[in-house]
Amino acid sequence: MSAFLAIFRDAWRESLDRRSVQVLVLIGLVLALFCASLSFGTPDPDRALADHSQSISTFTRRIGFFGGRSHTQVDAPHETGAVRAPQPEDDLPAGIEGARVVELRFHSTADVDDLARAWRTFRSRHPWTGDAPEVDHARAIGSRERADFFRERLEEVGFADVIARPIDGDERAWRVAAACPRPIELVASWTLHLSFGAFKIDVDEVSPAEWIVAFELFLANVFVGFFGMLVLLSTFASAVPEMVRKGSIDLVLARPIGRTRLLLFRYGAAVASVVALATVVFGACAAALWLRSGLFNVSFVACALTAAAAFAMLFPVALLLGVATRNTSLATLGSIGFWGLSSAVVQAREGMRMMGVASTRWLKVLDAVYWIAPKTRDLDHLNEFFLAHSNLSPAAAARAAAMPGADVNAWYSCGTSALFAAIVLALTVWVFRRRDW
Amino acid sequence: MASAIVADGVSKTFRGAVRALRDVRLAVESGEIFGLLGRNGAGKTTLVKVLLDLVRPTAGSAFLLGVPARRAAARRRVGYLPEDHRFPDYHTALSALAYYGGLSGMGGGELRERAKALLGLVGLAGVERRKIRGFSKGMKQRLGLAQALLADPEVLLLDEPTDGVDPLGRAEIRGILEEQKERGRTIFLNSHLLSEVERLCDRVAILEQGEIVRSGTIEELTRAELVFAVTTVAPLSAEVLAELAALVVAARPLDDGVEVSVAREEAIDAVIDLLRARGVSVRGLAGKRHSLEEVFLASVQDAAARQEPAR
Repeated sequence: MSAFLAIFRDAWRESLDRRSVQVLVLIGLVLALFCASLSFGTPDPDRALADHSQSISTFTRRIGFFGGRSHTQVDAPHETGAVRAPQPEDDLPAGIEGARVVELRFHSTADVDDLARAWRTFRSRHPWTGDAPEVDHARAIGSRERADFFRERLEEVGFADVIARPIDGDERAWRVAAACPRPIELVASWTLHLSFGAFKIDVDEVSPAEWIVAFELFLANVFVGFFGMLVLLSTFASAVPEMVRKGSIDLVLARPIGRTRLLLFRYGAAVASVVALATVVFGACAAALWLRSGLFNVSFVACALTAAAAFAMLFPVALLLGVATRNTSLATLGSIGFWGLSSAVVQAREGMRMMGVASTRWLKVLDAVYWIAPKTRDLDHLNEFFLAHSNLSPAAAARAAAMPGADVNAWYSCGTSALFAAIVLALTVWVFRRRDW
Repeated sequence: MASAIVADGVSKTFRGAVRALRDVRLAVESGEIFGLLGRNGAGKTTLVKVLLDLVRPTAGSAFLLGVPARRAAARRRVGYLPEDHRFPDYHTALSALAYYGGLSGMGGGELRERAKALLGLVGLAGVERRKIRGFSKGMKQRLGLAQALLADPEVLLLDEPTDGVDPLGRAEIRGILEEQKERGRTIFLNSHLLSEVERLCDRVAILEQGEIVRSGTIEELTRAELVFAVTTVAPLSAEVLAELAALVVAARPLDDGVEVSVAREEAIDAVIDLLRARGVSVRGLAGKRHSLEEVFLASVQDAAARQEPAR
């Protein structure tokens, strides 16, 4: 244990000396300060219900956190009444807390049926390519399916316990009751204040909760996952070439510690340092966002683990290059280059799959390389998945995680990546043990 | 007495067929200071690295305190000061010792106290918290000695321990090594400074092109067999010298006597008898000694001459 602690402290001392820790902590502080400068307006549920009732014939879907929007407009003219509190004559079931009621009147039942059919088609559409089965205009629509349309349409934008019933048996007119237990998850217009209110941005088509999760994902995947990883690899990739330099390695290997343990401790110390640094950065940002929005996302702090996992997959490459060449630049640039290459492979494969390319020789080659390479890019999707499912309602989580083609098999991805890291690490140990120093 | 260091037929051939060591056999007893001499590239550092398992031998085996050198446990009670060592320059003197102590399984307050005491011992008190990148070569050498002594080792392997150290520092380091010897520690010394080796070492081996060409105590190595210096009250006359020359293999006049080489040890009695018979007052008789430098140069030249025809 004392040997591991000595190596861990040595890694920290080296990082501090190179100012890498200071850079990362500074990045974390700037990000935390930026998070603390944000404030979020909460959407008004009544206004949101009125707006969505008026635009009930327009279907919108975001493509993932940062993707574009897919719209479908159906010609179904209607009038919308004022949003009001439920009345006894509405005959709503008991137990719906805080429900609000709105009435919609269409010109014909056929318009409602068109909406229900288009909605089914819209929902089954491939979100990236837009491919969808043809709308069967001849298919009969029942009362239940019409009610389901209103329910699903409003639940998708953040309402809960939606009940839709025809008014007095006339299926051209519908009374819709909806509750809104979490206004922060409501897709509606709201205002985002930046820099302690110095700037403001009007946001619609996305709820504050989703915006926060998207922002957290941006921090996790871009700031820490990309810039942070560059700094981390640059910092720790030099540890082993420095250790195995002529004159340095003698001092280390003359100690009563086996070569395998020495190298594995180096690896473990670097990964542990990354976990600590990433936890500080994510923790500070999560705390700031929690203070400003009331939404604390545990999974955002857990993104420190995925950042460390990505580092743990790539660091063996730096170790191998460092042991084989004793060259710091080669170890650093080699590991960063390898990271870029493996990400490009994963992304190219993902892109081909999203575009619906079923089977080509290139896809087979990419599949083979994908199997071997560390899948750091898949960790971005895991971040997305975990963030979306942490403390959002199922509907909001579904909206947030609607990234097409990114159906990452976490076990497969992590398992094969860990296998890659283990094999490269074993190879490094073998070279390190065998070599004369 | 058990051998602290054993090299049993150690050979090492590096890639490119460079034969660095050839069947090296030596044993260093516990408590002695052993000097390894050799030219640059003779294989001295390679031998030390084999002893520490930094270099794996092609043939043979090495043992430290009875434990095979391949095992990490063999280095538990061993301190090593490499030649041209390089400390990570982001460390301070104290943190470097804490790092190396940690790798040796030491820790806590005991390590801190020991590190401070050693820095004081090697003359680095007051600069414990200064970054190593600001150290002179001599200071780094002193720090190197401190890290070698950190785990209170029973065996010390020192490669050029006084390299880059000023004369005062050398004397201090010599004092530290003598103190270690008094404490019963075994010291294996690689050095170019023959005077230092002569002064410190109990036994010496000379390594030439990977082979041990001579070894023994300083006394054994420097004694010139069958050469004697006869000290007389007055210089010898030419006649006496001529008579002596006929009696011995060679006779060389000295200011205060004569140096004679004899074929057999008993022949020195005849030399004394002759001098006494000619009325020469003899003050003393001593076996002639070579300097270690002479022995070293002669051994290296002999080895080179032996290997020349083989090529």
